[in-house]
Amino acid sequence: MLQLLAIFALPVFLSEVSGEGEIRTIGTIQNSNGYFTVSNIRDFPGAVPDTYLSYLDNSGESTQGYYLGSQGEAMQLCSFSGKKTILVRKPLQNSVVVLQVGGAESRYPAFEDQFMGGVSMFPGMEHLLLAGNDDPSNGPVRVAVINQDMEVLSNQLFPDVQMEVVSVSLVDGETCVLGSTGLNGWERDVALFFPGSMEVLHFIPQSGRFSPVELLPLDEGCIMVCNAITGENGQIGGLFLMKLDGSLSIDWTVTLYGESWLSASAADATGEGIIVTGWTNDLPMSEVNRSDIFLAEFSLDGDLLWTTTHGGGTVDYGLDVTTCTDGGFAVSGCFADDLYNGLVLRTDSLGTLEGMGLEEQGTEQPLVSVLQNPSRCGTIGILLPEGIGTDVSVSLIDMSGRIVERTSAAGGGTAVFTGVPPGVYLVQVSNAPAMHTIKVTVTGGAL
Amino acid sequence: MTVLLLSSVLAASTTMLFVGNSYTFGNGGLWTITDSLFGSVTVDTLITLSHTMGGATLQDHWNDQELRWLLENGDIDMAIFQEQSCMPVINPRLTYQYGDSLALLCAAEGIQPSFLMTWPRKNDPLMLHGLEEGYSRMGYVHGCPVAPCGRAFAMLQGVFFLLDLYAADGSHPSMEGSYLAASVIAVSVLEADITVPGAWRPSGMSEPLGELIRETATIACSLYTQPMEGGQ
Repeated sequence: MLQLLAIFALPVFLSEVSGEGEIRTIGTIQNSNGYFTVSNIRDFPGAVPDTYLSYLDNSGESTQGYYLGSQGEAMQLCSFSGKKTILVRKPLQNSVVVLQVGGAESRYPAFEDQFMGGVSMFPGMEHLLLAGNDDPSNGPVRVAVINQDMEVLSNQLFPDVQMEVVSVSLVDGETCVLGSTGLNGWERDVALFFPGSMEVLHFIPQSGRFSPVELLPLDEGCIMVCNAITGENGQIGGLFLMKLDGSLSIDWTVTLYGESWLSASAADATGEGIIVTGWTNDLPMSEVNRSDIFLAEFSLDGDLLWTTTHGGGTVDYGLDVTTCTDGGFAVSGCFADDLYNGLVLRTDSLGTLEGMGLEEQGTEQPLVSVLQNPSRCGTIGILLPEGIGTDVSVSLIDMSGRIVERTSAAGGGTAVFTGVPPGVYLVQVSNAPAMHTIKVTVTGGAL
Repeated sequence: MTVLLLSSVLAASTTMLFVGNSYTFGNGGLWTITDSLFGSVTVDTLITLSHTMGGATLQDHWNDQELRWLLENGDIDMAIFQEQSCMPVINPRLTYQYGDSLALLCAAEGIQPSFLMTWPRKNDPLMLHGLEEGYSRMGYVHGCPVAPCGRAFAMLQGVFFLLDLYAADGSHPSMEGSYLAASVIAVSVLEADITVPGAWRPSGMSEPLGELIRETATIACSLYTQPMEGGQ
């Protein structure tokens, strides 16, 4: 019997999708009533899954759920033309199908003997783009375009363009396919293919093995999220972001490593930055507890704003992430019990389950407040309430616990820190014996 | 406990040492299965040796003077190393450090090293990511073959999920799992064609199942680009 369990209250929560068999939740989108999630449920590991669709309310409680009833593996979920759209790979039929949930007159285009080597979709304003490989061993690129009536407008194989496709998007209005090509048996580059101009760009930021994950378009240019194994971290893989400007030249690159593997699986544009999820095998893990979900947000300038991890005593994986309307995030993934169970992790804007990025540890009222959070331009303003004394200590503490700066102010006044580098900080306000702590994010601050 | 076994000795043949732990010595030993399979499909002869210890890591093996002596004095042509099942995922630095040390010692002794990419836990298929990246790095750095057993496990489970490649603990291989691993070694390291008629299979295993396992091993090896092609 399938059930969903909500553990936390509004608006952050952890919902488990548990039942018989192996369950991986591969996508979540927010709607007016809560959340819509897609999971793959296998009777046995390795079996062809069935797709399970569920609706969660705003507190993560399951309100409705049903099986799609067609044996196939859901690969991706998006919203296209106002409808929930699911990309399903059906290995028994050797086909890939695009399904829309809701709406009575939807058609479901099927691609037989195509895209069996991997496929990704991107919802544009008018068209749904598909790109992938027919052959499991990579090979030529195939690109298809579907309109809002779910009619296939074009479906073309590009025999001269060989790359392993991972994502497709619109960059400056042009269809752009992200993938990689092997340079030898181990090293791989980052490749972009523009079917409109037949242009193929190869990026080799440094010697190593690059595995692209996601292509996120910006107003000008794009950001590519990759996994990378280079000599920088002793050939232990980490996160690699590369920003291309409007002329598709490299604007900046940034890497994030751990002691062990840091593996990105999905990313989303937040409007002000990039949110990335995946998993970390960072120490101290054990034979049983091998991985945790990680979340990291970067600014559009490539500054790391914050990272968080979530996980229990076994293995936990983040497989997809989407930005919610309040700036929080919905992470889809799985964790292992006897087999995988699915999960939806609804975090605040700092990736925590603490609630909207504010962490109040005071023992006495009144609360202090941050004038703007996240803070812009490296300035943090703290509004102190009346009646807490005339000599209140205000400390800015980084995530390693180091006091970056300390000042004092009187109740009813304002304490201001300027020139603060981007990142996540704790602001501690103390008029002994009471102490209040607020978590603050700084974006686009001084370097 | 250390097990040292000489399974067959013939003149003018290749001597291959299997180094690992219970993943290697289970079900009678991968060296025995590989030897039987290889001997049934080629006129070449193979001498197999083993050096295994329950739960051993490559660090344990590097610190084992008996293995050092064997590598330096055993008249060995090839060696295949199997790391403890979780180490490439949770502590790849140690896998690299001691895998590198063993591979360099092999090179100094004129031995061709290779690595056995193990399989993910039955309840954690996504574990394969770290295993594959870690073992592939070893093959790349040392310009040596990697036996992509983990990939073959995932592939066979995807086409025939009712076949249990795992023992009851969901970690160690069943007899079918060991046969698949040995088949991958025969193809990727020994470059044998195991799809020929009459290839050896374990007693009690049906011919169609043996054929399916050998074909899957062959396909898995063909889809895995050996990292040694980019060796430094």
